[in-house]
Amino acid sequence: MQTITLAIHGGAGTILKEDMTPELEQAYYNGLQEALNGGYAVLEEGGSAVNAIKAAIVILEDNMLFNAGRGSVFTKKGVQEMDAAIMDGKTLDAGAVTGVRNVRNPIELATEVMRNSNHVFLSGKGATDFAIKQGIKLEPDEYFFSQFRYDQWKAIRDSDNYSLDHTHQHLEELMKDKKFGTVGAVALDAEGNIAAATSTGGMTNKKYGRIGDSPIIGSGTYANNKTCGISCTGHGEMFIRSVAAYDVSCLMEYKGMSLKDAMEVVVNEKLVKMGGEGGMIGVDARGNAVMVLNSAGMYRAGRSSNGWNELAIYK
Amino acid sequence: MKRLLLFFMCSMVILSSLFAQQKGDYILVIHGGAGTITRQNMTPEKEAVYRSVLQKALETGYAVLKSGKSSIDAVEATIRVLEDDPHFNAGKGAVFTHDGRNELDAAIMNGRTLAAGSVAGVTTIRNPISAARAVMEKSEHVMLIGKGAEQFAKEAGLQIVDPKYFWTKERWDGLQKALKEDSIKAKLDHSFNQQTDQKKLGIINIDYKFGTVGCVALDNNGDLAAGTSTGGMTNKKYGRVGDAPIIGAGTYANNNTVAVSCTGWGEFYIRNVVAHDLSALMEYKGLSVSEAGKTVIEKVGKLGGDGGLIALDKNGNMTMPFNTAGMYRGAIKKDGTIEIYIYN
Repeated sequence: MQTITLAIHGGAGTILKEDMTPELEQAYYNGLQEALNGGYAVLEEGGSAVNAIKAAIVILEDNMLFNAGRGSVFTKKGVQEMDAAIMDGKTLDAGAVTGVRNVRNPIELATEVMRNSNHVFLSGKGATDFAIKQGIKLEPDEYFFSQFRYDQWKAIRDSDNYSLDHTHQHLEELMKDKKFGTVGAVALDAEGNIAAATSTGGMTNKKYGRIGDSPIIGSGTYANNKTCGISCTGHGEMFIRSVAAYDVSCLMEYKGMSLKDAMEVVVNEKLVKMGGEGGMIGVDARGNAVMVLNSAGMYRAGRSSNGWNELAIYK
Repeated sequence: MKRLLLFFMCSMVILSSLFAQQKGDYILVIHGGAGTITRQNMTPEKEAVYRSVLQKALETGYAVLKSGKSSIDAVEATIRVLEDDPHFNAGKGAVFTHDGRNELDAAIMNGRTLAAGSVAGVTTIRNPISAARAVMEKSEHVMLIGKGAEQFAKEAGLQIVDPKYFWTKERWDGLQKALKEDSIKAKLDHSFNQQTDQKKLGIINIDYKFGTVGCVALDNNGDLAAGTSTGGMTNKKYGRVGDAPIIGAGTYANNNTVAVSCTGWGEFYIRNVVAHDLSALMEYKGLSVSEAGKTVIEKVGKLGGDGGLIALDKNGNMTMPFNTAGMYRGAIKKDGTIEIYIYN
């Protein structure tokens, strides 16, 4: 019987046990478990990898704890701009959006771009116009509002600091007890198809219409039935420069590496050398799942019909 | 016997290295877009204009390299020539979006440091390639879009122009034609590909002009750089972003391997991560730059896409493959020898 596997992440960064309260930790575990269960149920019912990762990510986007969809961080102007991408490893079809506002589930919009547009990558107001035309669910600004994210933004609004996902370099005080994150999912379905997706609210206080790696096919998100599905989280600029997600696939296809070896090379050698903090999750065509991080923690969970089960935060 | 074998192997090594050195004379390669560029659609006068602009761009980049400056300097200077010329779909002379705007994208990458910068959807920056460079060198980010990118460019001291600066009659007429022909589906500016899925592409494109510009260069220090600049697709909607500003898709440079700039149907280049794929085929599979170039263009074709690319490896070997009727392209060698081609 074909193995089915789902792995998800809720962001990587300086996530330390000593900064966490037991309640918050439990809330993260619950959020991850709920998303994993939601996505895995789709696979168990014979659903596609694309639908499974979409289901898992919708749950994470709807969860205030994670920096995607509801609960996204604020930009310099005090608005929330979200990015998402999805890729189907069977057809190499892909869809991505960047800088969208008021779209309840950016991953739904990315999927719509993949399935029902001539394009791969839509941005800004144009992407929102496309969402309206296609009947994608919108929400008012208040829906995305989270007091915690807002306080975080206000505190650094007038500084030139910006904060990554979960890195509290500039923000140690502020982020002492709460952490942030991109979300992502990869899956192998019963038909042997692989898919990958990522969704994020980006960096707190980001300026200048910055685009990170999440919506960039090949950098933050990539899937190919021949090799693997990958979703990344971390210092986006470094993941773009190293074309991180696709590099894993290339190392497997052209160099014959295993998924694990390829991910180790990219995350723990190449990215470390560049100073790129973060991690990634991956699944290969045989249903092996791998989660590699070079930061202190990454919210992550996974399950496979081969018996693999994981729910973890710290390294 | 053993000694004979050793002698034989040594001479092979010497011979092959000599051969590689002979081939490796190129220091700068450019393209001005790929698409349905055929002799039938060209007048001798028009062809002469295109050739002279390509020559000017090559000479500009060559002079920069000969003065001892970096490949990044050369790529920027060369692309600025092509952006400033109204015949190419980049900078002045860019095609119009559905809303009648010129939205420009550009990217640049340094093969030595793997530093990169790109801008997308900008409407007021005279030379988007210089904005991409400023993002690479003066910001903490790699990719900026829209108004934010324009604000950054302004703060970085780049020349800001009224959007009218980019207007040309030919491109405007192109949009009007496209709008009349099909108000729903955007068309690839330069493609007239009847083999592709009509439903997906929309109606065949009656606009025979071509676009994206790009440059790859190798400097005296052995550093590679790549840059790409474009006005995108005529009649594009929904804030579409193509491959040109995407590091790994339309633009990539790595001193270990190669510098690449792509042109063509961007969606396919994004899905295939073409520029990085070419580099990976060389680094991980040991292919030559021309084998790798041929392979990635075949992969684009297999998915139903078309276009071309230019690639220059760390040893000065280059390739300029495409699967369209033509691609404006040219190269210059260390000794100043220039080659310019348009058709297949």
